[in-house]
Amino acid sequence: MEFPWGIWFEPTQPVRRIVELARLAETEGATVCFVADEGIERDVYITLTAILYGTSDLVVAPAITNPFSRHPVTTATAIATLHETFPDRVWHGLGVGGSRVLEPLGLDPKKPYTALREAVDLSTRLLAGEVVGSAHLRWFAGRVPLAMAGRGPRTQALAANKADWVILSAKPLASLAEEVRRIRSSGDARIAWSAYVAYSEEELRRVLPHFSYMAVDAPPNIRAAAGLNDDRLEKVRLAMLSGDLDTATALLPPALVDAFAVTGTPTQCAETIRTLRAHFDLFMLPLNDEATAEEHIRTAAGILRAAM
Amino acid sequence: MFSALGLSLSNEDSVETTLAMVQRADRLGFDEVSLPESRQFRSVISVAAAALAMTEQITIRIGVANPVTRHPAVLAMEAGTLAEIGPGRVRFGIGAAAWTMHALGYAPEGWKPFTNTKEAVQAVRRLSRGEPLGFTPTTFQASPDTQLDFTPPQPIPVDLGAVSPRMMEAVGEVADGVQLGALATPGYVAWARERIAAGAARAGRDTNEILVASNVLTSVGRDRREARDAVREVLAYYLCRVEPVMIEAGSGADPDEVAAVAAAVAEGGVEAGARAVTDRLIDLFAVAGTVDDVVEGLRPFAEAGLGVPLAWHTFGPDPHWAIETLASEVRPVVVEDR
Repeated sequence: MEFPWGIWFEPTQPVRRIVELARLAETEGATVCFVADEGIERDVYITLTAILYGTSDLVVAPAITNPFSRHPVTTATAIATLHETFPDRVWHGLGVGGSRVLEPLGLDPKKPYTALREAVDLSTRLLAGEVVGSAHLRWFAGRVPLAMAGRGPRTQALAANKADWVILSAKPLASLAEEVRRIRSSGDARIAWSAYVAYSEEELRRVLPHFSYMAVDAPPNIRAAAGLNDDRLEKVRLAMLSGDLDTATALLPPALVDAFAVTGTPTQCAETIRTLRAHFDLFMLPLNDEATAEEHIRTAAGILRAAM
Repeated sequence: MFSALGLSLSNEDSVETTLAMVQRADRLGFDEVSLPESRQFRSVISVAAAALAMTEQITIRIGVANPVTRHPAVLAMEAGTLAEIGPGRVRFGIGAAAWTMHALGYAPEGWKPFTNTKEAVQAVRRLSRGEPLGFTPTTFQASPDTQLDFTPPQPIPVDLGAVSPRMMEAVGEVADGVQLGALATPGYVAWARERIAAGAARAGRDTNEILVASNVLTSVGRDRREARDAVREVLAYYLCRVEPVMIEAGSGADPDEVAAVAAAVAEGGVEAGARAVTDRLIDLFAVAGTVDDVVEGLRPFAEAGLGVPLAWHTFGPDPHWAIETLASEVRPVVVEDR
């Protein structure tokens, strides 16, 4: 059964290269492109603009941005500006944001869920052409699809109700079905599921550094099954806090990757994705590393085609 | 006379219209286009990114963005990312944006526009050079160790949109340049240069390294009268709205004449105000007339120390012809060869 897929970038590489990779992904069959608003990296809206102009049909979205580092009206204005020129190719993307984006900006929101709920309401109304307090985008009225990400049940329920898409990432594969069942019981939003794909020993090594934060947030049973005891977990946490990701990565048991990523041979990876097909409507592929991104996009695209 | 000649656009039209104008300016050989963050109109950052991607030579000037609705580190991310798309073709302006905040009905608790703007300029200037922030800001949260996760291809000039004497001195202290706003006159430019020099002296900087750019209300036409008439309405509109310092600081305007325009606008709107605009006010606040008139009108700006005039708002009774003429007949005379 065919399914759409897309590519998800953190803007850690120069914009021109990201555009080239997006173009390659489009050629390989991707239809959606997410760009993260993380850290103090390249600006998400400039990167999205460059991708829109540099590709033919890719739908793009900030995935995700937060209500804190920009005023929500500024964010809605940015989305509306992109949508005005590319009306069928832009989604909005909102979430509460994580420590990677908020801490460097000195932001420590006290009520992140409330702020997110208000931002969703404000941006939905503004983008529909409504006046909200003193804010009014007089030049814009449209229907912009909204994607939302959230780890907790409350945010996911909000997303299921208010958004068109719920983005699920950093989830153990074993819990995907249950989580999706809960989300689908809360609303009509479709599921964009993102998981790393590691189809060789080399790719397993390449994805491992992405798993430090997943390890810290993983449920105890998943950690235990992967061989990550409390003592080791504390060392990972301390290494992360000190910014020493190499040490944190070295402490991670490779079995952790099997819990969160699609692993095995290319054929096994395709089979795993096919098995989980009922639990997602869109598959989002993150990059394993920067240097081998082209090869990864081509290989993963082949796996995804085989999974359909 | 000048180091460059640019166009100052409103960024209030559709993205498509603005981009078409920027591409045309690039083809015609203008040196710069200034795009403002105009109240709740299009996102200047996205439009600037598209403009850089679609042009070859022209410098895109953010003129100006506000430091309130997004964190200054985000402004630095924007500046650095724009520079990746158009290396060496970005100038990034920041201003207090009181009008924008007023229109948005938004003022953060304890907002100090002067300090906030000055600190934002310092932050963007350092961060976009790949340096750590290096100071503890008082108007936004950030550690002195804050640094962009990427290094832009080269330093990005960061300008300050200034009007008041205190902000002019801040330009001299911390910015790479200034962008003056609506209705600048040669007298105001000279006054601004003095204040900038005072700030530069206090900070131990060379004032000659600080670029002075300004919107200049410009109208060129085949017929002198038509070209001058084309600025009357915009002049009436802005004479009622600009900060008093722009009238009082060396413009040479008779306060009674300005007051008469304001009274006419209050009574009968901008059209009535336009009828009250005298030839003397046009001579002071606009560069309007034939090609020769415009060239001669720009000369006092150069003598006052303006580095980059940004032809603003009207362009002429036939804007299409006017823009071509500014590029082909005015620019070669007023811009020094590089």
